[in-house]
Amino acid sequence: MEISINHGTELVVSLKGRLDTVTSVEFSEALANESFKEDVVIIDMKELEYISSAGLRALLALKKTLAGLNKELEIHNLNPVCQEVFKVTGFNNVLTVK
Amino acid sequence: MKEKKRAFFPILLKVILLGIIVSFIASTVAIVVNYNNSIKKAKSDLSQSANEALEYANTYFDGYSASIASKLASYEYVKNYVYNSYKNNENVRDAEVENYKTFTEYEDVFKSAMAFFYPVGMPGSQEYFNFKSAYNDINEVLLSASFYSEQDAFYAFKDPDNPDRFIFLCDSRHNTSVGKNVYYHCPGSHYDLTKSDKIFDIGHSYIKGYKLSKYETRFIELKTTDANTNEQVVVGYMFVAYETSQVEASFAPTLRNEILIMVVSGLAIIALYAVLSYFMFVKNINKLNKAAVGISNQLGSNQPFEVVNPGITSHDEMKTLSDSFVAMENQLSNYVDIIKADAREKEKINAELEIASRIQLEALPSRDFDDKNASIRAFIKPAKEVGGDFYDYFYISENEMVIIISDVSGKGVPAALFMMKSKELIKSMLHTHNDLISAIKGVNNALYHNNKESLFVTTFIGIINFNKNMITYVNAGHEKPYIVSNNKVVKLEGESNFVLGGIEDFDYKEETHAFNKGDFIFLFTDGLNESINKEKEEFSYSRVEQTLEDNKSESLSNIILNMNKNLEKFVGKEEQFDDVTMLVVQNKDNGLHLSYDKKDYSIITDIVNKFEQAFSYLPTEIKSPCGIVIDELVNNLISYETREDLKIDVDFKVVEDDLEIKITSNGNDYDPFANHKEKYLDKYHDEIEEGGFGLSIIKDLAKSYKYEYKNKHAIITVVLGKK
Repeated sequence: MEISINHGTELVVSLKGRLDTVTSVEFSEALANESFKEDVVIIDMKELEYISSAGLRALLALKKTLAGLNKELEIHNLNPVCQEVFKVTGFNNVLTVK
Repeated sequence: MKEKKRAFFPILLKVILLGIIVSFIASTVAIVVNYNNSIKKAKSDLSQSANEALEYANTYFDGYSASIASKLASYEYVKNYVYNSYKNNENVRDAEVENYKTFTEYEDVFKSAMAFFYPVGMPGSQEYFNFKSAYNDINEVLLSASFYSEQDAFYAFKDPDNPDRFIFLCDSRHNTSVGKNVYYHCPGSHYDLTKSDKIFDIGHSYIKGYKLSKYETRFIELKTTDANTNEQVVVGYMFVAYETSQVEASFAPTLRNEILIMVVSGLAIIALYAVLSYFMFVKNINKLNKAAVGISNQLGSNQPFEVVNPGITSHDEMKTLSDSFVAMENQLSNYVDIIKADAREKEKINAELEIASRIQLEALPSRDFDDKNASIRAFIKPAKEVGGDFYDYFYISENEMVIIISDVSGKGVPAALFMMKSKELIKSMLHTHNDLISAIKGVNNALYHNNKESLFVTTFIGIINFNKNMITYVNAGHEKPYIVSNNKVVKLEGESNFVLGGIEDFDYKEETHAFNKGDFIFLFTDGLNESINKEKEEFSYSRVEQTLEDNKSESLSNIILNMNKNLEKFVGKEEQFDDVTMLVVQNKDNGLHLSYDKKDYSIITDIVNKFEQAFSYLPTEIKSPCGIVIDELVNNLISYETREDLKIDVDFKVVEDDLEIKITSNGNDYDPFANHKEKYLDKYHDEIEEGGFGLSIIKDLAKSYKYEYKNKHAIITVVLGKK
């Protein structure tokens, strides 16, 4: 999986590939040292093939971290498979999906 | 043309060298000729002087024409006598007295001989004594300056016109010392006493000197200092011998000067010669050379060709050469224009051929094809811009695919046109005929007619039936393909029918061969097996077969890649003279079996990668959920299974449009679906709990799922597809 982090008015994290058991570890590690200066963190899933439950857990953990810092988390550009996963697990209820 | 190699001997240097050689030869000849002339002249001057002296003597001796020398000869006896008398008498005076007596005795002889002189007197005579006493002072000075002794001035004559002058005669036949140890005359031989050489016995004494070898006689002036005027005055003349070799010696300094002058003037001439040569020849040669370099530079550039005049203005051969050069340039300019026009034309044709080649290649189906039935990889490398080889594949029914490989006779554009025609013809015939044989017969006859060039095409046409797992084929004079089945490489022998377009109504025969799931067929044109290396050895069937044998477990892409690598390695730097085309078609075994015996999350990535590789043709709606299913189920197994020697087998299988995923493990008998509680998050329940979400997702995505425990193995089967 490719993770690219872009700082600006918002922190944009673009994902490419799969977010699964193996790559969600990479994802969490990539953001572990992030200081989250921006108020909003956007996860751009435009080029993400799919997300598994391991990926969902990583996202939820990130949301909790950000909530502690009083920051917003937004999920952008979900493909149909990811949308389905979000829907069936209720993640679209707890994460801001745009 | 930047680099200018300098000639070792430039023309200028050669001209100078030649000048030096010629001028030295000329100088040498001139010097030798001049020297000889000088010697001759000096000698003639000398003899002239002698003659003048004789003439002088004759004039002054009052018109007697006879030569002094001849007259002197007659005094031989007298002189010998006188000599003897001096020799025999110790006292000079006694000798003179005796001489006088003898004179008296021979007076007649003497007088007759001496009649033409005005002798002062014979030694010993009264007249002589009188003369001597009268001119005593003069004599003393004169004799002491010129003679060794008084006696040596044997005869003294008075100058008839000038009484102050005397003529002393010393003949060459009497020992006489002249000029005080300068010369010594003996009868028959003469010595130069200034050059100390040897000691000679002269009869009554010995002298040390240099014997004159060549001598002439002349008068020399005898001078003394006038007491009143203090000037040198000639008081007499003396007849002496004079060595001619001294003349030559006296010319030595002259010779040196002449050589020096000759060398200096020679060098000056050479310098002038060089300068003139430069301006007359070398400068023009340089101009020509400059013009030639200009042309050479022009030919290397894309600028229009300009005729350059070397600018030679002289009216000589160089001008002629320059004119020829300009004429040649004009010709060259014309040729350059023609060549450039040709090049543009050729460029245009090449561009068109390139487009034609692209069109031709675009007419061929993709080199990579994958669907649920077949995997196809193709390779084509034309020898020229456009080739005569082609391959094709297409479905003629849901379960039947036609595969074709062909090679048109001939090369280049005609072959390419015939290839396009054949390709379209075969395709349309196969679509409009119910069976292979009637289609091929139709193609054959259609190609046979309107074929004045007698072109033909060798072809292998096969129809793969994916339901029956069979291939039905006709080989029309083409290379025999190989089928790789169960790791066995089999050459597809059988009927070799005649080529297409060769004979009308040829009776083609078709054959069938098993073509099971997983089997693949390797087709090629003769550009492969008949390619030759520098030893003129063919790549041959055996190398094709060996390469297949070595690569039969490789992917289809690698088989073609390695075949081409081997071919290139074999052929080396030899030119490719025929198109090389390869086509490999696999009857796809729609299953993938993977087996792991390590408990590591990394196997998830491996499984998903291999799946995507094998089932790339599947739609994303199946591939992405499959990745999720694998991730969830294998993650669960690795996370919760307690045994360390966990073995996981994953099988994928395409059934119709569905994908069946089967995960088998040696783990515990545990049905995840039965024990699963639906997991759903809402704003009231956002806690992360272990497990749950994954199975929810699987249940949502899957068309069907089941768990079973058989032969101590836990088996989970998930089917993905349209619900």
